[in-house]
Amino acid sequence: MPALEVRGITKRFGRLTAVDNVSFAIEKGRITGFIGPNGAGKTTTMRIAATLELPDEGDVLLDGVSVLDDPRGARAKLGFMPDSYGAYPSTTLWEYLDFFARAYDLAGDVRRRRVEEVLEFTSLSALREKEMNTLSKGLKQRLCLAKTLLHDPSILILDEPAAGLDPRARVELRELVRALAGMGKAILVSSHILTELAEMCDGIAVIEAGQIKATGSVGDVTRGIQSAVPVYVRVLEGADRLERTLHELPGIERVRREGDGVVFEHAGSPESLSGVLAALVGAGLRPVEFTPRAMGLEEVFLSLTQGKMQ
Amino acid sequence: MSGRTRSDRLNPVFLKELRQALRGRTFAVLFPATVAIAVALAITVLVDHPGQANLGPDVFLPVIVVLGVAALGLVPFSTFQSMAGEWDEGTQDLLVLSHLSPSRIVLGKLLTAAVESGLYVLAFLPLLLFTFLLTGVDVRDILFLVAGLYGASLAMSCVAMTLAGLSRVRFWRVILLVALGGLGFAALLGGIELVDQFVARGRGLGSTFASDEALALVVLVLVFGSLGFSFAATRIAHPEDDRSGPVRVTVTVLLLGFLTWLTVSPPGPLTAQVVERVAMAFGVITAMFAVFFVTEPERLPRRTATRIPAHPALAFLAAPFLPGGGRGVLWWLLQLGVLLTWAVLLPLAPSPAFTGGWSRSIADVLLHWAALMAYFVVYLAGFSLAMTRLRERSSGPLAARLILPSVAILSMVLPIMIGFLLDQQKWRNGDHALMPFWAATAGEAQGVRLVAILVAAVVLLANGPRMMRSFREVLAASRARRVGAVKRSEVSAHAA
Repeated sequence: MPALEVRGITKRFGRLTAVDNVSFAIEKGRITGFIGPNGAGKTTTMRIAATLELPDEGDVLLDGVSVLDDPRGARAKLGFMPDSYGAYPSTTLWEYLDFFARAYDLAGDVRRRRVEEVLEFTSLSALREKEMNTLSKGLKQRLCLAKTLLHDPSILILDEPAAGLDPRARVELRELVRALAGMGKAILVSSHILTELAEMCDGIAVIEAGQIKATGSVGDVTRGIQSAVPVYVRVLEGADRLERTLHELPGIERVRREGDGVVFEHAGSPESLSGVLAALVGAGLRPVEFTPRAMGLEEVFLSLTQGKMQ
Repeated sequence: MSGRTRSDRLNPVFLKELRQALRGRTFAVLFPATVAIAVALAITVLVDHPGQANLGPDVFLPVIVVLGVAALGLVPFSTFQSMAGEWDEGTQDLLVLSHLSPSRIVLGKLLTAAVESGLYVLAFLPLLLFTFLLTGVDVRDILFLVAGLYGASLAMSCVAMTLAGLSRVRFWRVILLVALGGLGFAALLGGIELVDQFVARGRGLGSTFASDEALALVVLVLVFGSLGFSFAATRIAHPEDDRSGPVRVTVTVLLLGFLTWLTVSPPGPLTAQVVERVAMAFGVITAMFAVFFVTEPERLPRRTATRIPAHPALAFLAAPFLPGGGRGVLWWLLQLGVLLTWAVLLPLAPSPAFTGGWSRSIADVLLHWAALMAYFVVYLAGFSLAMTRLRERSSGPLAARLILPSVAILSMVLPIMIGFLLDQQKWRNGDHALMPFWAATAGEAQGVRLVAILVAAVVLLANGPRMMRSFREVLAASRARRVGAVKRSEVSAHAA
């Protein structure tokens, strides 16, 4: 059973269909990046999964618990970090976490221990007596994550957690998210910083104009949309001869010069690609670089979406 | 659980808000400032009137006015900001996701207001009691006025929470804040008048005036406090949760409370005319609340449907108190039923309260009351039925809530304006068939009354299917819960 299962949800706001029959699932211990342009329906989907909005159709199951039938039960399994994290002025970090721990009915030693644990996990222990409004954005984001973990949820939904963070804070957040996945938590994370997601996620779900365009592991999605892999080859000498040779080989397309080397596109299997390399060596060329270029997440995103907004 | 402390039993919102308030700059600056102003004013009066006898009232008034500004202005303002901050800072979602219920959140904020206001009272009380030594002010009056001010401060804080929850748009927030300021100012002026009567004019506790005023104060605090509390709780709840039930229950409880009090300990003799007027007044007041309920969309919000009592009899009884336009009509008819029963049974029962005897026949009194209510049946049940499609749209209920009273007011006012234009004396005076208060009471309006009741009966008949559907929906949800419970027990038995 998937930890988080979105089942054909649709949400309309008046005439606008913000989310249109969206389905995907996340297994335990996996991080899924939720990608889409502004207004694509990411936040609405996440808010439905977090029990904050109700879908017009469909349902979301959190560890098998329906957000429609048992929102309270679903919330116990869920940690939601909204894009605008809530802050209380004149409140120290410890007081903030203590308040939310109480709000989740944690009491006595259990509460104190849990607050210490999440402070430790997010490396905020040293700042526990600092007031929230004196924190940097990165630290506030970490505090919000700490708050999200207080009741030890098995599923985390993080809406734009890296927005506005400096590179160091982004790396730290990424490490925290990875550590959480290592603990077996299923994580759905949205971000505009696609390189960030590429380094963090096991899978992606691409949404545009309220509809899912692709779901699966990054490799699966890339293979699904990339018919031919560009390969860069550089030889010790004889780039012209390399170009001619490549033109004569089967399964090779769009051969062109690029700097000192040559780029071609290959649509075959990895075996046939190794055959290309063998053929080049057999032709007396001496390759020093032979690099297939898989599509980056940004290219995947651009090829899947058209920048449609609702 | 091991290590549980007393603080675990405290409301988390209260604890958090108190920590914030006591550490925040606003309270730290305003609290000593108000105390200093009050002390300065007291000293000024004492210096200006050296050796004067009965100086108590002269000192008491400015000091309690400063306390009034703090209790009716600063504390509710702080509560307003705290509630509005939940939306502005994006913490409302986080609260909704936690285990805190809306009423617990509102209670936490109210308790904070109670402590803040209490601190002001404690700081001012020695100064106020000091005026007793200056003679001219009775210590019982001082304690009563301070207690009344404290109660009013809490009621104002409840109203402040409701106002803060009415809009998330900053512009409207400012308008609502101004409205809160206006209410606070009005309450302060009323308070000054009361203090003046008590302290300066010697009409304090023990006088008839004082008992009437004390009663009015208690009633106002209770009504504004309880309604403000339940409205605020509904504003912070999820839109698909029950945002109407708590207010319906509060109004019904208040109505029953007033009727019980009027029966058991009436402030004066209950004549037939008084009974008729009370029934009419409460009919109109409950109709004003019903405007909000009858204009709700018809369907039961999904999250409410999962909390309907599983027992069919309980579900049946709960139906008028659940959200939905049809159930709103049922709720109002229930209030009318309560009023009618009270009005009919009170004179018939050997009640010591009813001493005046009937000057007219009971049928006549009931006819007048029924005629007035008939107009409201048409406004509420008729117009809300006509606006069914509008009410189902996202901003439809708000539009319906504006249209419905506007139509009612226009139907009363328009003939008056026409009367001015056509120089019709009767219409100009409001003596026309669309004016419910004239139709219900004027001797010459016998025919109009009968027509109004007939039209209301037709409207109620037209509303019949709507009310039946609303009942059926509740019973279906109750059945679904029973079936769900059976299925769950079967699954657990199978698993075992």
